[in-house]
Amino acid sequence: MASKFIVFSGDKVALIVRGKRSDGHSPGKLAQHADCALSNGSPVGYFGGASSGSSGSDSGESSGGLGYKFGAVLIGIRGEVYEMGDFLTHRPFYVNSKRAQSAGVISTVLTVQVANGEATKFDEYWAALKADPGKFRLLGKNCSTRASGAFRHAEILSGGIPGMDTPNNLYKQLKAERADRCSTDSGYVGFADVGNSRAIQIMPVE
Amino acid sequence: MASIEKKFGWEWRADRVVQQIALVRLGSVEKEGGGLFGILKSPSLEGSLPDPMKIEAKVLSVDREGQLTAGETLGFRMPKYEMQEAAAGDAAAIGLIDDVVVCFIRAPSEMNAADLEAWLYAVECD
Repeated sequence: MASKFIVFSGDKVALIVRGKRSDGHSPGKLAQHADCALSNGSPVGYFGGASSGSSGSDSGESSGGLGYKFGAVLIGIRGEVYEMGDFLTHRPFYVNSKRAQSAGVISTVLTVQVANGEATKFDEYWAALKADPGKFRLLGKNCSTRASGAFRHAEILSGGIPGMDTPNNLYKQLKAERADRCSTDSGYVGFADVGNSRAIQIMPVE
Repeated sequence: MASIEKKFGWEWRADRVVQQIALVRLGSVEKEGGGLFGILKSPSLEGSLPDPMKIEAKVLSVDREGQLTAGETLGFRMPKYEMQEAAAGDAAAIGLIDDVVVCFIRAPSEMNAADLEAWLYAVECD
């Protein structure tokens, strides 16, 4: 089956739940991650920085020590907003469908139709967070907390995520509150240029 | 294998220029743990990798001066799906940028030492 392309031209944004295999699938709390697509179709997401430098030699099980783990869960560690270049270095399988297939990473995309003003505010939120990413914390200041912030700043959602801040809970909130504007697709997700626009590419899982 | 002399992390090359390519012989290849309660496995943490593997290796030769020299031992981590099913005892080329490995190419198993040396200079880090 051929890939599906969702073309962005300022009329939609998206929530992408990594590790969510289908609309009804609920991934484990440590097996999911949330990214977004801006209104121009560019990927953006919020991550906790590595314990030292980049994804270097101190990032594995032996790394960081208890202090890093404690910080990641409770206190907060350096937050980072990824744009395309960062994804290509650290998570190419989040922006390239073939690499997603190689890595076995299936995602579910929730595309949300937006008005001009909402799109502008959604994009502005991410630009401001890029300039000042603040602290990342797995409990309460994580990828889904920030994605939720973008949807609330754009006034697409009026309140925070019901229950624990997880990508899947945000997904369910958006679907429940904005069902008339949402569409969902699952597969190996990447980004591609289509004409003069950028699109999310969804390669089906066969 | 002698104790690890240098440790490297893993990133993808993207559009960056590789600083050195080293021909290595894999020593131990082990699955990496996820730390306390699997916290480090969270895909929202920069250092997390899909199915991370811990590898120890010995440098056989290098394509130019840089981070590694022949005879050194190193440890690095990488996602399993990038390993092309390489196992302990196999030879491979690794590309380096600063303190991270950015590519891994498993050497054809039938090569002798001279072939491997030539192969190192022909290999492409993608």
